[in-house]
Amino acid sequence: MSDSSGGARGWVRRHERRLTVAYLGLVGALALLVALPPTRARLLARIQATVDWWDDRWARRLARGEALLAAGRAEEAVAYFERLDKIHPATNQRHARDLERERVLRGLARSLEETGRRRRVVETYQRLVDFDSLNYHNHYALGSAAGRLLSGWALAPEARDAYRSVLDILPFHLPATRGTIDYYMDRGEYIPVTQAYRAYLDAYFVHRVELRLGSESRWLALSADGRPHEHLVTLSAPTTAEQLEIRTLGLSIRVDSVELVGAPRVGVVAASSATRLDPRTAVLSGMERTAEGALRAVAESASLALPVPSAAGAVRAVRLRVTLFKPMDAALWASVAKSYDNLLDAPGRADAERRTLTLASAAAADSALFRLIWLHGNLGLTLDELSR
Amino acid sequence: MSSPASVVARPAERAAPRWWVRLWRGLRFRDALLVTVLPVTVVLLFFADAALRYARMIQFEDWWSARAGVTSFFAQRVHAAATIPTRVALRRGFSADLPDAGVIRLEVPRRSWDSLQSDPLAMWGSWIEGTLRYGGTSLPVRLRKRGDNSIHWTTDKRSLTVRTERDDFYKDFRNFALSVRDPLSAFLANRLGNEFGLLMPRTEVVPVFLNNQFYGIYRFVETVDESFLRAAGRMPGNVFRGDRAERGEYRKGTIRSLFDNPYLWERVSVNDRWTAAAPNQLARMIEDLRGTTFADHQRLMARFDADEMARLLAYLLVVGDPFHMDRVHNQFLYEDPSTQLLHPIPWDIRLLDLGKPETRPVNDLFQAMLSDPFVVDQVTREVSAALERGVESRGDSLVHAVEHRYADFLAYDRSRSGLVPDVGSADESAAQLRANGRLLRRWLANDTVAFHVAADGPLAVLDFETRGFTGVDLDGLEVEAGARPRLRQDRNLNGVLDESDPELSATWSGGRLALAQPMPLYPGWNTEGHGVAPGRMSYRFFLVGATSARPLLRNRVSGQAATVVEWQDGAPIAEPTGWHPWLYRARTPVVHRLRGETHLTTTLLIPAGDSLVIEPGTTIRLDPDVSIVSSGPVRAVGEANRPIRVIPAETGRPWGTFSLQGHGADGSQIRHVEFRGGGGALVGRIEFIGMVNVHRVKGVVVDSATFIANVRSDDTFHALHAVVDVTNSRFVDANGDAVDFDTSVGTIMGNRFEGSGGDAIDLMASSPRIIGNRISNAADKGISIGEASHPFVFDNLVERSGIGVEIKDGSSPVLLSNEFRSSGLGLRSRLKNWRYGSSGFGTLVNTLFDANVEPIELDSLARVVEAGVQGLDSIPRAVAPVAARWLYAAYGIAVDSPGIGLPGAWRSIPARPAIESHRFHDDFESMSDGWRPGPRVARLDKRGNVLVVDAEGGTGVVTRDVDWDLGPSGGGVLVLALSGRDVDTLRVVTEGASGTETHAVAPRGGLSRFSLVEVPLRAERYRRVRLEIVPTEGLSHIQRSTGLSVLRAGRLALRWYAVYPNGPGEPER
Repeated sequence: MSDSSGGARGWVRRHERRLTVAYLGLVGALALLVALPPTRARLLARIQATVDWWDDRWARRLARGEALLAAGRAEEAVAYFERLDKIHPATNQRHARDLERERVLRGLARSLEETGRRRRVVETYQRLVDFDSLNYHNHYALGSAAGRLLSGWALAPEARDAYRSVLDILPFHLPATRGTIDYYMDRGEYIPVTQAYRAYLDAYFVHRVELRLGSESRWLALSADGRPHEHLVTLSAPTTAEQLEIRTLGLSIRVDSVELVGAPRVGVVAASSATRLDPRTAVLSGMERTAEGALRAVAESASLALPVPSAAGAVRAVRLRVTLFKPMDAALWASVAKSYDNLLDAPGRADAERRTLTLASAAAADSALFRLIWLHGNLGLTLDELSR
Repeated sequence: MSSPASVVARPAERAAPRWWVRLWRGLRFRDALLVTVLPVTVVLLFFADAALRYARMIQFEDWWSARAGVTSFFAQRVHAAATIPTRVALRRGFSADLPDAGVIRLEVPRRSWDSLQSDPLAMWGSWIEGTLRYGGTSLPVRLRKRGDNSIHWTTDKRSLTVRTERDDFYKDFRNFALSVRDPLSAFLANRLGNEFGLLMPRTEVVPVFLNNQFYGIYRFVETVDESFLRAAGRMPGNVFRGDRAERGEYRKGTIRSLFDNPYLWERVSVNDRWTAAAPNQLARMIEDLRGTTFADHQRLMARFDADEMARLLAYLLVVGDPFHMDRVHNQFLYEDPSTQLLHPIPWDIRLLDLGKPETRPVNDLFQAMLSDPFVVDQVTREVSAALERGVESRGDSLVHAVEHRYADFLAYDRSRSGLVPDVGSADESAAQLRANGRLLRRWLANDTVAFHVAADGPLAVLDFETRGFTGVDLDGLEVEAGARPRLRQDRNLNGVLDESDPELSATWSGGRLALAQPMPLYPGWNTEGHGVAPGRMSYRFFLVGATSARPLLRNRVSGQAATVVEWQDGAPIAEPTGWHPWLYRARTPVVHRLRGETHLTTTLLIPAGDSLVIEPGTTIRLDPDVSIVSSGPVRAVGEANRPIRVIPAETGRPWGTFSLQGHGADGSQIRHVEFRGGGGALVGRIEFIGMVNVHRVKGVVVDSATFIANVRSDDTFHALHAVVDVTNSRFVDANGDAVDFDTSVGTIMGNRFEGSGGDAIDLMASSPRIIGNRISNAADKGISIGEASHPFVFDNLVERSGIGVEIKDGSSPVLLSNEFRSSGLGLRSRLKNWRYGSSGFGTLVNTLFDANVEPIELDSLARVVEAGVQGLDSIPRAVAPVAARWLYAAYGIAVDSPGIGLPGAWRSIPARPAIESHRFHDDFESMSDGWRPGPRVARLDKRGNVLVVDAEGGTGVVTRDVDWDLGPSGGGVLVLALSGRDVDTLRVVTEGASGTETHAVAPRGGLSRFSLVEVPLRAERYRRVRLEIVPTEGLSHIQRSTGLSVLRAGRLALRWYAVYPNGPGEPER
């Protein structure tokens, strides 16, 4: 022992000068690395990339858990998500990884549901709500789970409460409105059904519709409330065009009137010109015309194009009267209409009917809402996940 | 013989090796390690620190964290290390006991503090207990994290919210924020809002000490809530807050724009009256904002005060930040219950370079406001006025005063720049403000107008388009025509001359057509791009009788000749970038007359601009809930024998209200009118809580009126934000309060109140003169003075009422020569509404309380100044009246022989104000308002709106330099309102040109009952005044902090002092 240590010491003694030179060279290199701006910047960038990589381990772990679940290894997924849940750094919604944390909880809940542990599923969704109670989708996920797992002959009250919370945040959330209406329909309570539907119709929902006229493109904020509104859209410069195109980004619309306001000319005395376009001549794309003359959007790219007569000349503004409809499906409207009928509220039904334009299926109606980019853009969810 | 070895030179003979060679040869590995280990470790630690700080920063996801990087953290740490000596030197001079009224001294148990700051993401919303040392005492406070983004919570200095107890405020505040962001420039930017008359939260720059260690320079900000409204003199109402940008309140998956999504708004102050407009009014406002028609625009504008919006926009341009009140955060809108108008409250405004606008438009509300040409025009005028009155100089002095006051603290924070958020500098801030001023002057000079004239048959078509920031006035035309041409305006904007196009009044002389009134050609601003830019607004005129002309145009702001450019013939005229000013129709004023027997079955609304005349002898019968509400002037002048009567059409069923609303009704007169049986109403979303109401009207006279038996409504007569004189009237059987003044001034004089169901006179934040009223049988208070009211109350008799007079909630009235008799309680003073932070503090002089069941009731916070007051003591004692001629004269009253109680005959004289008057108020400016401590003064500071002087161990002396010239008035009197505890004698020493004079008094015991001390002054110039406090002998009170008795310690509390000159005929000393 003493020999070996003595040997090592001896080796160090013999090579001390070399060691010293090597060490000082290392320190000098480090000093140069730090002192020279380009190398220092590269070094610091490398450190930053390392920190980013290390911090991103949570995303990798989440992906692994989701892969287990997708592979049908539910028990393993439960154990994995439980561990991840315990150590995940996002303890509240202010954390940058809050969406990941929500995915962890959703993954855990789904894994638990796969393994048949109902009570813990609902508890987990409740924790999701507690984590970010301002995220309406967390409430909706809880409501859906309660509906699936706790309901008996009728929808569970826990589901109704969760849907109410969704609607407090996003009053035009169609699936939650449907859930609420289903709850009361199951119980044969028609007044809350019509109240819920009226609240849905009245919910303030501004939707931007694009008007294209020649090179000009203007976005018009329309209230999707099923009522006609007058609008005046001014153009940034007088424009000539062959057609006026209106893109609704997936919502149904009724165009009552369109008028192009001509641009007067400097030094020319002439009465202001206005050219009316006939909405019935509109060329439709992704839309279909209803018997009442409204245009039902059946695709996200829904648009209509109105030919502009050449006599219109340079246009400086567009006046129009339009009605924009919130998404609605035929089955849900049938329930609502039945409720109005049962309440003998013919005027109520007539007013609601005027403000309603139905799509064929609930899925079509929901996706009309969900595909709006702003709606799911910052939820971290896919369209499929949104409807779950 | 020498051997070969001897050839080799001996070491001594060799050249000595250089020092570094010797060092190198002697260098051992251990030495190298020892020499380098420290710098290497430091460098490695810097790297580790930068990495850790970066790792901590990316736990957030916001604007600040997105810009964070290891490189910048490393550089900041190196800079901080290099400035350690500077910081150490500065820190030696820091003391938590610095006598500065702005210093905030927090004490928090170390463990609690560590738990709060250990994890930047933990403990949101959790309060921790602490104390705030303030004015010789310690306030219990609670603290919590403030700010939602990483700048507030990831550096060595964190933002905090502090809250005191309800009954013990810090200065005037219960809640306040301490923000780390840009304290100097943000202070300047937000303080300048006051220059524009906006509703602004109060803000200061303050050094903060934490557990006796300097923690950092902060911006103190008042939080916006109901207390803020009350302190700003506004009626409590809804304050809508839109601030969902950051992660704490962020609603994922919803529309982020506050102007598209009304569900994002919350209320931080709630109007909880049943009539209050609910949040859906906000949705209606947003609907109007989103509308695109002229009708939508007019509805929107009717919800705001256009002048205020113009001032707000001018302010934001001056500070260069029309962006931060954006569509996702920093929005506060106050809904005034007296008008239902929405008032923006600027929040978190920054000082930016207006010349480098952010790459985004201004918010939707500002865009909508700037589509109104009159608002745009007013903005240019407001900007011009602000620049002319020297807003840049004002800003310069504001920010440099702070820099000068806290130079060392700022230098300390600058030396650790990066480790704490930038504190900015006064020079940079002032320079930025001046740069914005220069740019705005160029904007104001930008008055380009495109012009084209074309002949069209017998007339000329004149087309104008404003293309600058500033509008122009068309003064007239130079025309080559033999006869007088006529200028007509294309008022209906249809492009052709027709019957409805009016002719403009003008004079014709020597080829010049001069308009009688300049025709304004307003500018239109373009707000669709980044910030604001010049837009366009086109105008057409027809010149009949000429085929050519040259316009005479002047810049509307500067008055200089405008820049005119040629407009190409035949070019298409684009839509204006705002609403055309000729779309706004002016109403022709209408005079509405009521006479004889009139029966109204629907509410009569008189719009602003119209007027209402009710003739003598008219009887107006109103159906149930039918009202008369006039926004124009009302002249309801009856005669003593032909009064006007406003009565119910159906007996027992109340009509609504008779009300004046808004400044359009200024100067209204109501004389010899009888109001009977009204019940209040809700009209146009405005609640009128009185049978007769005056809302935001000035110069109203109500004289010789009779108010009888209102029902249902709380008040009989209600003044709100008004200036009104109610004189010689009768109030009989009021349902609740007979006269209610809220945030109003004026006169309540010579009235009789009989049998009020509540108070006879009820004041909130009002300061009228209440003189010569006779009040009997008020079920509650005869006179109720509450919520920061400061009236003058003279020659009033209150008898057989619940309470004679009540003074509460920070009110400080002056009651002179009144009588309060035969009531349940003579005087009550208390804190009722905690938002005012202090109890009543009235001054009572020559006032009689007699035959009341209980004479006085004071709560523990109440204070009262008394002189010549009889009947408040539990053991009756004889009290002599005080002459106090100075007090009568100060309010313009002369009494022949002042006694206690009603004054008898008196007459009005010109008011003789004090030549200097000072009332102490807890503020951030000064510890003692110029008073200097001398020997044995243990404490000298303001607390609870009095100057507190503690003398310990002997006579304590405080001194103040003054400059009182009493020569012209033949002398005068120094009056001090003070109290003492354990003070044997107070000597007031005045030093005049002819020497000193000492006046000794014995302050009465206790710190709640104050007395007036009068010190006569000679006819000379005074330079100094000194107070010598002689404590009582022996042990005095127990010190709260130590639990020990204090030897020879006395406390003097000085509420105010004033110097009044002698009046004519008063003896000269």
